[in-house]
Amino acid sequence: MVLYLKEFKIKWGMVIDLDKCTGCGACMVACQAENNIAPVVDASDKRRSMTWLLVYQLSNQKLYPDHDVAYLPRPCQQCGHPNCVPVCPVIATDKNEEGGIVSQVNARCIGCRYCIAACPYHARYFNWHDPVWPEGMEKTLTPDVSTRPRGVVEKCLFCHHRYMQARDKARVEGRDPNALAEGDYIPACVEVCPTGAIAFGDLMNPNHKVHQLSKSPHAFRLLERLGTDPQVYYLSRREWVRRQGDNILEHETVEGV
Amino acid sequence: MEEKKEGPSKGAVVVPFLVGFVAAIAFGWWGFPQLLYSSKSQPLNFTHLNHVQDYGIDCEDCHYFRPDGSYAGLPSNEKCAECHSMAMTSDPDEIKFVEEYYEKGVEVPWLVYQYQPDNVSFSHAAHKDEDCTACHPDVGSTNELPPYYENRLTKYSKETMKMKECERCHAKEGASNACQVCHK
Amino acid sequence: MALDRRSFLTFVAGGAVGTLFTPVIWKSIDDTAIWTQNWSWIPRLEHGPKAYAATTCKLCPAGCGLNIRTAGDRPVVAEGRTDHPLSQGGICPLGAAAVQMLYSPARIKGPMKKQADGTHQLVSWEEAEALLLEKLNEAKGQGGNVACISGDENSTMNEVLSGLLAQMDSNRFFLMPGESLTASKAFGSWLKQGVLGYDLENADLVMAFGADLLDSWGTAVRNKKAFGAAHPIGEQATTEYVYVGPMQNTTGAVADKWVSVAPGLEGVLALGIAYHLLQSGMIVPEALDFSSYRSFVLSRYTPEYVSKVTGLSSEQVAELAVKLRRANRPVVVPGSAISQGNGVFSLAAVMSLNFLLHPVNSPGGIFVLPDLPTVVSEAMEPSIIRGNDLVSFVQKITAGKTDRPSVFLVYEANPVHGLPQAEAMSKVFDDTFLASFSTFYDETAARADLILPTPYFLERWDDVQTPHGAGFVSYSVTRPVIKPLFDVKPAGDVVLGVAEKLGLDLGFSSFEKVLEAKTAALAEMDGFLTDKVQPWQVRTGASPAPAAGNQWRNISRGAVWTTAVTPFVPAVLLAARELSQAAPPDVDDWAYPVRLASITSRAHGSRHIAIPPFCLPLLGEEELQGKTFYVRMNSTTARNYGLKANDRVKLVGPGGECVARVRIFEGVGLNVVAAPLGFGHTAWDEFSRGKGDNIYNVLTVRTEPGSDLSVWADSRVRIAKAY
Repeated sequence: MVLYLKEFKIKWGMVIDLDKCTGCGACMVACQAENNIAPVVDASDKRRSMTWLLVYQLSNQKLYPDHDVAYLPRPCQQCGHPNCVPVCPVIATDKNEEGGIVSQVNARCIGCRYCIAACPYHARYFNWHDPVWPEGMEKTLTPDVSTRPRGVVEKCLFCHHRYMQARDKARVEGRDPNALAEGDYIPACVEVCPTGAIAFGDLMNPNHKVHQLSKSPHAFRLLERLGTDPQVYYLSRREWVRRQGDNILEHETVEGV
Repeated sequence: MEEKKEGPSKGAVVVPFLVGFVAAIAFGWWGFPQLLYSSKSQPLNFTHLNHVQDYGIDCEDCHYFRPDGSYAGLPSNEKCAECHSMAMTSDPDEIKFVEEYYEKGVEVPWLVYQYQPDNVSFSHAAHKDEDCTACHPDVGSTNELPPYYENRLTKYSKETMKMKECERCHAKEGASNACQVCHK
Repeated sequence: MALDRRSFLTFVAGGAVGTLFTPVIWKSIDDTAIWTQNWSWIPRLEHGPKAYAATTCKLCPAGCGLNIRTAGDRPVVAEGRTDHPLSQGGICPLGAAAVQMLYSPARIKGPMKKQADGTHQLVSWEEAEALLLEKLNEAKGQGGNVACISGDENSTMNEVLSGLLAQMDSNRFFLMPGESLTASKAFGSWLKQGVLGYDLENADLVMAFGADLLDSWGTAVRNKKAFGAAHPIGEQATTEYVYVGPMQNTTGAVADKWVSVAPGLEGVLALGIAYHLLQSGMIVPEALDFSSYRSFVLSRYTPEYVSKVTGLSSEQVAELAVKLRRANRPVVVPGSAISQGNGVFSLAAVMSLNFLLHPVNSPGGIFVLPDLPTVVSEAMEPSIIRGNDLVSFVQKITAGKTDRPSVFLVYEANPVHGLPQAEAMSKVFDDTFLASFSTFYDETAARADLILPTPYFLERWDDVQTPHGAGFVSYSVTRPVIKPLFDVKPAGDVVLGVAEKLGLDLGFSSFEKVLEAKTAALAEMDGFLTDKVQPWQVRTGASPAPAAGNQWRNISRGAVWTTAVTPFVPAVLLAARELSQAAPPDVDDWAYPVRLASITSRAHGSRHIAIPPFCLPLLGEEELQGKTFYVRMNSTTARNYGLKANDRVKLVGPGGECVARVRIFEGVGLNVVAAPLGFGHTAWDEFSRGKGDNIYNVLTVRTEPGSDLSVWADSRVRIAKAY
């Protein structure tokens, strides 16, 4: 498969300002509601909890009082060279759509979990169990995202259905669905963030804020040296935070500092 | 020396083979569909042709796009009741609509010939320049709703379009065949 | 031709070959594959047009606007509302889980009565209301024989409930303890017409003392929006945020600067800063007690003393004073990290910085936010309600110093779980008739003799008046977006109905009418709707169009009313007398040597809501593991007590104890243990029940000298390894 090396005119991307993220978790809750993820009774059993978007706590590893913390929300990184795609034996996951979102079709997935092993970001989750909603709560399922049975892998799709809806709206209004304005399409996590820590848009479009932000000297991506070319950027003015974005050795400096 | 047996006549081989072959073909093409599909009729007979011809109602009056770009699909009771909040004729289907559905606040359980699975997101807006009958049965030019065949195994309509048909047309038209374009 | 074995096999072979020329095999395989996609036990999607209903959240006191997205008629997702000044499109984790809570397994399905064996049985509304009527009739006219605890600080329900009590000659109406009580004790003598608010939006320096501004304190989402606006993504911050508090909680983690001060010592630091400000010649001309304040601070809160008590260096304290002096529009926010239980000393000391820095009602500073007019006849004035101290009342009852009411009405509150020293405090409900108006089967409902279930806030009319910690006056309405799922009845309607049968006249037949009247009463004040101009913009020159049209129609559909009118404040009191009397003693408490920094987070629910199912995945591996929760301390503290990461630790307070595991977290001060409130539920549902332990049990209530206020934000504990 060389399809995933395709170049895209549109690349949806996020720039997450880690100096603004309070780690409140509103994005994680909004994600579950938006994507029809079933609640689990014991979410501390990490085999059961589905966190397409997961907020990690980072520490500068210093002792009190020099300690500092930062929070890092981790959606699917929508890699330019995704590791998950070439290992999928059934093309249930692929990167071939304009916009650069790595697809995941649960109806096609055979549950081999190669992609989970391949993903360096732990962004993929396996349904070890059938989803169960408390009685009646299934009435809160949105019509936009299909439910997944046990035995398949799932992950963040940047609320891909919202992309489709934005395109449909543009079509009905007579606009070009391939030239969405900034703000026409926004994932749920970005929309609810109370401090506005996440910017979202087309990384290729100079009119979109993320285009400039991704070039900021404070911007970095996770495990950049693996060559996965993620479409999710992080910002921090704190060097120790940027250093934790990759396995930086002591004598090395992070780029752009 | 081995004893030479007399082989069977050609007819004794060919005839049962042919019988089996023909029986299987007959079962496969005629009996199997009978077994696989159950025939259902719509809860009410809606006279598309009359509505279009006699009352000058356009297709888009009931099957329209919402401002958010989604497609309304089938009209709700409320829409029908704009005219049929009371029966205007003695047509039994109309009376049934008013009494059984509208007044009881129950939406008519129309059978959709082209109902796609949950994992498919079909965008009507993207296909709005296509002819509706390219996918849907041509109900607009008759007063009879065709019977609905339900697959007993999958519970989908017999006419539900398969992925290969979508792909074929997308390929022909140069539209993207990326998975997530149609799957959700 | 006879059918011998050979011809049969040939027939079968023919059939098999023939089948290959039919769709039977391929179709069967394909259909079977499709059949496996739709197991009957996995719900299918229901389609319907997408629509939004604007309403106001009631899950915590912050009063955020919510946009409830519906599909068909089903509410599916809660989103933020960009037009609501208290949330501006943002949402907190609890609000984001609002829709799913409709179907929480803890919902009460109908009125219930406690049976002899202690279980609850469903009864009819007639029977339930008759029982309530009977009990109230017995208590009627006997002074304080009926008491009420409301867990909703902002609803006009408080007027209905306090009106009922007043007409039954009782003044025992209490809110669950919060910081407006402390503010009332500190400034109630001169501040009768309203509360103090913080104009974060116009400030260029925000210094929060204790208050967990960016998680759960006050108007939390609005605070975060103000923080976000002042920290444009990828650019330099326009407003500096400083957090002075016990730990790197949400606010401490993200603020531009964190100054570590143990809980209870924020006031000492504030006066240490005031020392520098006074030294530089700052005065409060409008303060009547300024000279006694000045001499008290200058004589006692010298840099050496403050440094010794707080553990900060004199330079650090001086630096904070310089920051405040250099800022053009600094605002200082006093509070406790748990929005309750702080003392007058802490509040008045921190607030005095605001008075020193700029006059009241200056943009970017503090404002007097007037109370909204009351509409229910004989309803208690908001300023009176704010001053009623529930915890002292309960202590007096349990100590036998005052008589126990025979009837307790509890509205949307969970005092059995959520009062300090909860186990001991809940004994107040022994031998009384406890009626709980609650949506969920919380610990108080589980204990109640009568449960009168209220509709969930998405199913009812309600309202939110200026929440605590706001920067401006606001009024918005909560409206039903779905018909009640269960046999529930709005508490307002129940109370109004019972009042009528008691022969009392509250002036209204339904709660919806009360809200309509409330909305109409707003016309007395010069207000506007926040559709175009936000209230903080008015302070910097924007001029809004006055509210016009049908007020109820607008507000009941989601419009938010506000006013920029602020009462004139001729003189203030810095509470110098209370400060000098309530100053914390210098001696250390050797029996309970560790300071307890309690945490409340919206990710854990709120005072009256246990953690929602959707918030559980937010808890990390070192917050909750199975049924055990974690408390945090730094490695030095842990070593001093012989503890290691993951050890089981017992926290013992004077009133109770609880068990947790140790998480080493260097963002907690020395000799401080940080522990989250909101765990250890015994009722509710499987999602929250039995998880962790109830830290409310180890909070320690003391009576603050001078103010006579019950205080527990500075609780202390003993910690030891548990085996």
